[in-house]
Amino acid sequence: MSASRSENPFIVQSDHTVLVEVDSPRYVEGRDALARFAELVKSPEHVHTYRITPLSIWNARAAGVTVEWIREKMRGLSKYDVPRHVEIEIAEYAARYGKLKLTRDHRGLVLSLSAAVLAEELVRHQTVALLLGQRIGSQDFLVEPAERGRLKQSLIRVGYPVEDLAGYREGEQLEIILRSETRGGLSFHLRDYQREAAETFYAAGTARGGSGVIVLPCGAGKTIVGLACMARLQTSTLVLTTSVTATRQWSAELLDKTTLPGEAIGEYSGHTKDIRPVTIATYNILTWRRDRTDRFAHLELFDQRDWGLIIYDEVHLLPAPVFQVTAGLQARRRLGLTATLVREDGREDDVFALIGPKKVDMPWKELERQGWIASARCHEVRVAMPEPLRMDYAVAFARDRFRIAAENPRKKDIVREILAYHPDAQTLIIGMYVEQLRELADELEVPLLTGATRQSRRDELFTQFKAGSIRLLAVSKVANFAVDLPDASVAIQVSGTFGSRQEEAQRLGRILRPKPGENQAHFYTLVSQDTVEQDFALKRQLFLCEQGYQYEIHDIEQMRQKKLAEQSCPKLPFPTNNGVNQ
Amino acid sequence: MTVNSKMPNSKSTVTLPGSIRGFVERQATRPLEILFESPDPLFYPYCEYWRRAVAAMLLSGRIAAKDDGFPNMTDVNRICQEANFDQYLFEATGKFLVMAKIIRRSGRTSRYEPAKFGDAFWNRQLQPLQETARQAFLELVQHFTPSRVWRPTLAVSSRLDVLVALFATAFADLAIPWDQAGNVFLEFSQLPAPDLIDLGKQLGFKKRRSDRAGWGRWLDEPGQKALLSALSVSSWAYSTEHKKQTWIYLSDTARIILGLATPPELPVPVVDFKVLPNLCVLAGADLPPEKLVPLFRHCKIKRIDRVFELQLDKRQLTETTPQEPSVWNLREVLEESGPLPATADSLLRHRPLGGGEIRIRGCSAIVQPESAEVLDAIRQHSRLKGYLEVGAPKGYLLIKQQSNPSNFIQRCQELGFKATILQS
Repeated sequence: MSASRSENPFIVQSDHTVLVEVDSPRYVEGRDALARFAELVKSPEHVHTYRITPLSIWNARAAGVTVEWIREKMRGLSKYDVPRHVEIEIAEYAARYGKLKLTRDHRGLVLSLSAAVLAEELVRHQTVALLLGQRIGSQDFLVEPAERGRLKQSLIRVGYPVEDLAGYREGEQLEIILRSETRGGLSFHLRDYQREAAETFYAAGTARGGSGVIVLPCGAGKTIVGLACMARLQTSTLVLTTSVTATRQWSAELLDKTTLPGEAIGEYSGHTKDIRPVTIATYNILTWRRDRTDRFAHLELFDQRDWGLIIYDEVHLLPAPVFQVTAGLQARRRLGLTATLVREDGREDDVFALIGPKKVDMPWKELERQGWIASARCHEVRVAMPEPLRMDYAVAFARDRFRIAAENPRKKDIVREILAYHPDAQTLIIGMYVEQLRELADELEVPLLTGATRQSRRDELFTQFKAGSIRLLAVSKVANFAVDLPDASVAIQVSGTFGSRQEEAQRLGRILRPKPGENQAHFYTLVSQDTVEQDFALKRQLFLCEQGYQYEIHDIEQMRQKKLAEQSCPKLPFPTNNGVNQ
Repeated sequence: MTVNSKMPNSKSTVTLPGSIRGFVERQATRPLEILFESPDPLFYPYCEYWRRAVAAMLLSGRIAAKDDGFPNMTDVNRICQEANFDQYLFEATGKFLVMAKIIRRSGRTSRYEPAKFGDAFWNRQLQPLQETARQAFLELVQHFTPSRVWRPTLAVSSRLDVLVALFATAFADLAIPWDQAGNVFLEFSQLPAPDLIDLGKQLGFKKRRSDRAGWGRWLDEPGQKALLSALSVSSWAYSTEHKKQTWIYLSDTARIILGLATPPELPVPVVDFKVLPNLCVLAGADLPPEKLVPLFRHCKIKRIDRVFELQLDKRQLTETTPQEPSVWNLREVLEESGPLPATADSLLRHRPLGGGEIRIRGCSAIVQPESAEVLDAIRQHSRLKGYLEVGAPKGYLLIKQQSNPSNFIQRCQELGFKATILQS
């Protein structure tokens, strides 16, 4: 291998994955090339993994990338020869793009195929044939507007992407302008990556844009990207969020950073049903029904105004009924926002088919390097269980073991010690079990916020926390998402939802908002040693590890023994805001 | 007709004698260029990443060797499921590795160990590989020949490899129908001896008039099947579908091993080696077995490709380490990739509980007194303490194996202790 080739960053595997060495001098060139035709699967330190899929190739073709360009880049940047079958298969995938086009003319929606043979193949396909309308030529079919989403979904499943050039409804006109100075008197302008994300979504107003998902880390300003898209489109907008708190935050951001008057913004939740040109609703209210046999009465909200844009905040949590409605909303522009496009139910494909393809995916560490989000140190603190509890754990049924481990009473002492190491930091104590949190909150005299806390009380606590009048706040999983607590710099996770990767990432996200000064956050996760909780913790950490975060592991017993042996200060060597305290 | 034994890497040009040329022309052949739009480039024989993976998996100890030396298929199925690898390919490759003396069953145990040609395989040395692969091919013919079928000689003396070489030269770049292949081989072997000898001479084989008769005896119906199976298992022939018919053709591997084609340059070795914080281990397929085997033993196999992807897994470590303390060997191997990430370091530092000591002692009953005071009173009581076994778990009492629990209960009641049997 020539010296120059050995420094190339790609290793192309025969299963279409591409390993990319981050330390290669040509890494940046390689990353930029791959971003156009492959999907980032994971990005731990040293080696990132991308995958070339039919979808990623079709996305590339849609953006004007040619097969020759892909081949040239892969050969030029690979350390070893590119497997021949990979090149052949990429060419085959690419050839499929553009064979099916969906357009609109005086006859309505028309699906045009590139060859009569293909038409014959599709009419014989059970699920596709049901969704095709009248055949109006050897290669053309009419399509019912209501079936537009489902047809695209079915065709993608049989391996034929549709180039949807039928356009969107413009929706009600609405003047939205981003302010250069916020109502609070601060200077405001879009960051480069926010502007690029909005422009990528907008695609100069053509039918090639207008639907898709933007993936940005927590704290990177997804809401701002949403506002920028609204300002580009100048149309009435329905925003769907995960909680009333998030609804209020969207409302506050709209008022603060756009010229929209207060009366143009409505909230549609369990508390208020106010439909305005910009309406912010919760997923909960949309999927509410009296009983399992009843219909979802609030889904009518989608038809109650001529929305020109629908924004799905935290799109990875989109509930199934909203997916179904979205299949019928393909004529409206759709924007999905998330930090973690990881669905624990594995429905990422439905997000792709019904909301749209991933338009932007910004690695967390990249934004950290640029200083747009706080740098974070993650710590896993392993706490031994007291001996009697250890026996209870050993004889417990498998289903009870996780809870026994998660509620390990020794965690309380560690929480105290961590708090002592960060005496001035705004700190969140996050847990899954309310009883455990209540005990902690009582002992530490910390306010507690759970699902049972009234909305007015939640707003009050969040306001006090933001204002700094309270420094510590214990929160259950209600604060996992879309809660903006800009000054929190320490999070202590005392328990979590089993192996949920997105919950771990979202919880870290609570402390990633950029901070004045050293812009440093600390995330502690407390796990009981040698228990299933430790195994689940490993799985929880995968997403963040893949984003380049490293967990420092602290074994409390080992540290204590070492410290006692050295007869030094028995305090634990956790890092402080000023560095590592040894 | 003049043919190159394999374009463009042919050693020499040979002229087919008339009878052989006529025979080839009479067969229903298909040129390979029709079957494959763009034929694969010449491969270096027996150095594919999947073959090295199979060898590493066999040596890892996760697959037992059967009495006949071949891999236990229950183990093979389990590991193939984990690694998403074709178990039929594994089985065939495993058989070849055993026959080629690259690995062997270790004494009378069920473990595998490197055999005579192990180094040649791992270090990609062509000459010893040619020697052992030809021998393995003949052994495979013997293996696939039913034992009830009588043969005048053993397959190793049959010189069927020479027949394959002549055949490969005559049918260069041509495929023949799979269902006729056995018969075509038989008829080919019975062509006029002088012509076969002439072709053999051109290819550098020693002249032996007796070959023709011997081949005829080996190529009856069971022999034809055995020959085709051996060709397939040793990767000397491949088959492909074309227009609803299966075609068979001799591979570049066969040509190179039989000396009919010059091998291509050795491919650049893939020796990348990294341990990532998400506990993923990336290991190039051309790393030496000292590194690969411990990885395949102790890690979960996620992907078999030119760079193997393995996953450090606590459960897997717990299951594999009690049998040997080689987790430390694994640690040494991993440390050669550079400083270990904290997650991997912590996992390897953790002493697997599976390796702990287990002490088993019989008892006739376990007793749970209602309080620590009652427990203490029973333990101290002169008429009860004789029933008790030492070393009970905290909060419990154990009744000695030879004592009758009913007597203990009766005596407790007589002495005023309230006792209840919870479960018999």
